[in-house]
Amino acid sequence: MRVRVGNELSEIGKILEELKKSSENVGAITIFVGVVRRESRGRNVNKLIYEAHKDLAEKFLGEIASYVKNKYGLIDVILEHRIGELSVGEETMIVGIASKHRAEGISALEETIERIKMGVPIWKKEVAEEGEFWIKDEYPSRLQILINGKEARIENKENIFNSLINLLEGTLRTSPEKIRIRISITTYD
Amino acid sequence: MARVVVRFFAWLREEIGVSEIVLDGLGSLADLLSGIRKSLGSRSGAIFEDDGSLRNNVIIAINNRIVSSEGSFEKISLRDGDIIDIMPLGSGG
Repeated sequence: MRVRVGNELSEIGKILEELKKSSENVGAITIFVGVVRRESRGRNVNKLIYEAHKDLAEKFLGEIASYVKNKYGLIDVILEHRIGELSVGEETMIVGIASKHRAEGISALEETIERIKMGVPIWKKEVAEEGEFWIKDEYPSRLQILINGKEARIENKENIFNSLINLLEGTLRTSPEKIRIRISITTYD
Repeated sequence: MARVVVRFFAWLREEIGVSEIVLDGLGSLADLLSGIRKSLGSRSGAIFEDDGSLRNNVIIAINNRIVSSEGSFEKISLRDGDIIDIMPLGSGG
């Protein structure tokens, strides 16, 4: 198990080999790679600037790795996150998980990513054509809203309440006779 | 009485306009926060609410250990050379 916050990420092939070598009982390797994308919140992003409290970030990543390893009975966990200026298409972070079976690896991967996004002192600033913007609020991606059994898309995660009102107004216009709403939010504690 | 270094991160640093300050004559973490408010004046709004309480999206660490309970700030003593980090919640990934 290891974590790292730095200017570079390991090559995926090396992480794959490292995870495979962690035990002969490894039956699944699950890897997530974050990538800088062009479109974000309606803006045209040129690059992201990542900043971290490196000591604390590595400490927290280590705690996350230990937590998910124990919770899901994983064999090995590797977490790496980049800092500095990253252009569109560049990799931002890697989560690598070795497990006996795919199910626990896939579940652990999702929880690990959410924990990294919300609970580690790493910050990103978007440098876009429209200006520079710090990303201040990251919400869990497992928010699901069903209206009349159909999943509604949250357009603006920074203001979930207003998004919900807009969705309801739209549904009222199209099918006002009966509305059934189900909201589920997955948290990890 | 302790002399400590206070470091600011990410957008807190940009809104405040300095990356670190040195404050001395301090006894507790509560003293330090009060000193920061005085030192930064109107710029301290990035860290504190109008009533002086810490904003709920701000984290404090002393020598790389997170301090979680605002109610106990008066009980947390500072020592010469302590490094206090004031930072926002993370947004990595």
